[in-house]
Amino acid sequence: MDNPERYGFPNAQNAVLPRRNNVKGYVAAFFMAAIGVFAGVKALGAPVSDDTTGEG
Amino acid sequence: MAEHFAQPPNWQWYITLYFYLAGIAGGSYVLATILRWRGGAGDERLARVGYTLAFPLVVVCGALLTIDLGQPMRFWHMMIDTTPGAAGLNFKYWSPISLGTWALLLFSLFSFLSFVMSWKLNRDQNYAQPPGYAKVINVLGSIVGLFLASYTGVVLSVSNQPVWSDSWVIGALFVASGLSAAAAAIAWLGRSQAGPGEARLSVADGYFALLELVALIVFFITLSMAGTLGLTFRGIYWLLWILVVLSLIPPLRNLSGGRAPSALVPIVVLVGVLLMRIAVIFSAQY
Repeated sequence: MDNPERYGFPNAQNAVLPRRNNVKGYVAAFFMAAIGVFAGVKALGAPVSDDTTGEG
Repeated sequence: MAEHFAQPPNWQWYITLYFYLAGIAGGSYVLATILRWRGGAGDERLARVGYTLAFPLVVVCGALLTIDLGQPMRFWHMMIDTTPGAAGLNFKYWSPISLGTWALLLFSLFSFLSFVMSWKLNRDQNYAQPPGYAKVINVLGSIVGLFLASYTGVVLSVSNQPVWSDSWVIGALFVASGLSAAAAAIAWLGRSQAGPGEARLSVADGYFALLELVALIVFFITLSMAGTLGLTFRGIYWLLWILVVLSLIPPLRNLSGGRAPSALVPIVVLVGVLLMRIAVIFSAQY
């Protein structure tokens, strides 16, 4: 039987979990989350009138 | 180009629903925190809707994830390593599944505390702002909630499955759509307490839908570059993708302003986000 290396596959000693998009995936998600929070604060933040009337 | 030599993980409805509800739970908590601490007078009621929603959803998330393991009683092995000679906490920073397990546990704690606080304040008929220490809990819970909403997409991106591993943007797509679905869920559940907050939630949903659209376009571009775009559009899935894109139109129209929020739009958004998760997860496997 052929070894896995013959077909470019990892063997039992050097196999690792796929991690091709690990860093890129987190970085993209982080920026999207940051933009999302910014958009949320912009949309849901108190209108100026609330700030001026709230303190009496 | 990626080499794919893995069998599909056979992730079906349990995982699809988990990814969907985790996005809504995390997103609801974040939006509740923004409403509570940056919102206007009267937004505290909507904030409590968000906190009250997050905890039950994350309980369901834990149940779905545990059932999907196949041997539910062994779920604790996700957190505790019982390997002889290496026993201890099972924390692997390089594995999104391991990080996600811990995030789910932490978020359960934060959402439980916020759920109880909302219930207690509602019971006391007290719509005043909560005590200051709640802010620490809310902000920390929001950070973990954002991670919970996004890591489910990163899990897919770091797999070796065609479509999933061909794009690094799925985490971003899931966090944008999670926020959108959360805004829709809070707007729908809080509609009986309608006020200026409801109109601002619909505008927020418009922003999130715009972010989701951008992430969706990048997702398709990355698949096209990898040569697997056809895979995700085959069979019935092209119809799902069309429905997903169509579901973005109503919230996007909210951005033009001057339009009263419709009770139907949140339903369309919630269905559209679910269809998107179904299309991403199933089209890569079957």
